[in-house]
Amino acid sequence: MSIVKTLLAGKYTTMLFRLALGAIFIYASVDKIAHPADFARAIFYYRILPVPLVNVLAVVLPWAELLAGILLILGIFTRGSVLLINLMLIVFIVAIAYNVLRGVDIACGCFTVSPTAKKHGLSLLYRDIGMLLMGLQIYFFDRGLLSLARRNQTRGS
Amino acid sequence: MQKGFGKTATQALLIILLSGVVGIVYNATSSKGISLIGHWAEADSTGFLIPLSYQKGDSLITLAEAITKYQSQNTIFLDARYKEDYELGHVRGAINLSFDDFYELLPEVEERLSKEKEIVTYCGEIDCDISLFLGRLLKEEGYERVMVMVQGWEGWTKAGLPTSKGPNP
Repeated sequence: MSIVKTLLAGKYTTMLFRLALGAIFIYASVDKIAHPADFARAIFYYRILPVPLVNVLAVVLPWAELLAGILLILGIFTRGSVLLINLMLIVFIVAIAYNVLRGVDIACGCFTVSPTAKKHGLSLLYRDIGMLLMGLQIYFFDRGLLSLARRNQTRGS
Repeated sequence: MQKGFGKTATQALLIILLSGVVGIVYNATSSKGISLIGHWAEADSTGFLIPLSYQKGDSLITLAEAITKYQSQNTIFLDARYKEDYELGHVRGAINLSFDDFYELLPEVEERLSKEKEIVTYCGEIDCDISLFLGRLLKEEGYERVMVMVQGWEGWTKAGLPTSKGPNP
């Protein structure tokens, strides 16, 4: 029992998840920041957001990913950044699931009945759900191991 | 450990605000910056819709022009969508050349294409890009007379034009 608890709620698991999730978000943001037009098109392909809002989101979202990722790794504003990351992941998951269900291939924004497109959407979905589980673990169990704000955090506990 | 949700939410909001400021400033100063209000599928002065992925060099045709070419029976129609979508319904006589499997499928359909003839590509509707992308790949392969019917399958069926179902002929 205690081994399971250590694995699921342990500070080392949390620290590992924090570093991994932070790194994933930093990595994911860099390409989007470098190629805003491509990212705007990717958002457009989801066919969910009103068209005038697509570009604004494409400009701001990658920076939110980058900042939240950096803060998560540093352990500053850990709960705030992981909350934001979890919210982003929930939005991504809902958006992908919605498009898998109604048959939109998010690789091209095309309406399709192709199982290839569905498979692609589902694999993205599983990936994001996996990241959300990491994020939730951090949100509920973070104890600030290897984080810059550790002292403040433990003082407040 | 728990410090109240209010503080956490404030932190998250601060990150969002900072991202907004940094993102917009960076975008304004970056050479790759984009306009904050997106322009997708714009109409030109005649009301003809330009698809979002249009690039210089793409040849676009209206539905009316496509119909004229179709009736001349001297134009090859290519469906850029997935096989499954093609089989559910396509422009009668069109050949399926899915953009996604272009290089695999090209050898199969190549003998039915001609570099001298006009080719019209299409996909689902005005917002899909794969007809444009297919056109560009074909041009790279030496099919110079490629045009894109931007209204796509949706425009074709709405106009009640000839269709058929089933796999590639």
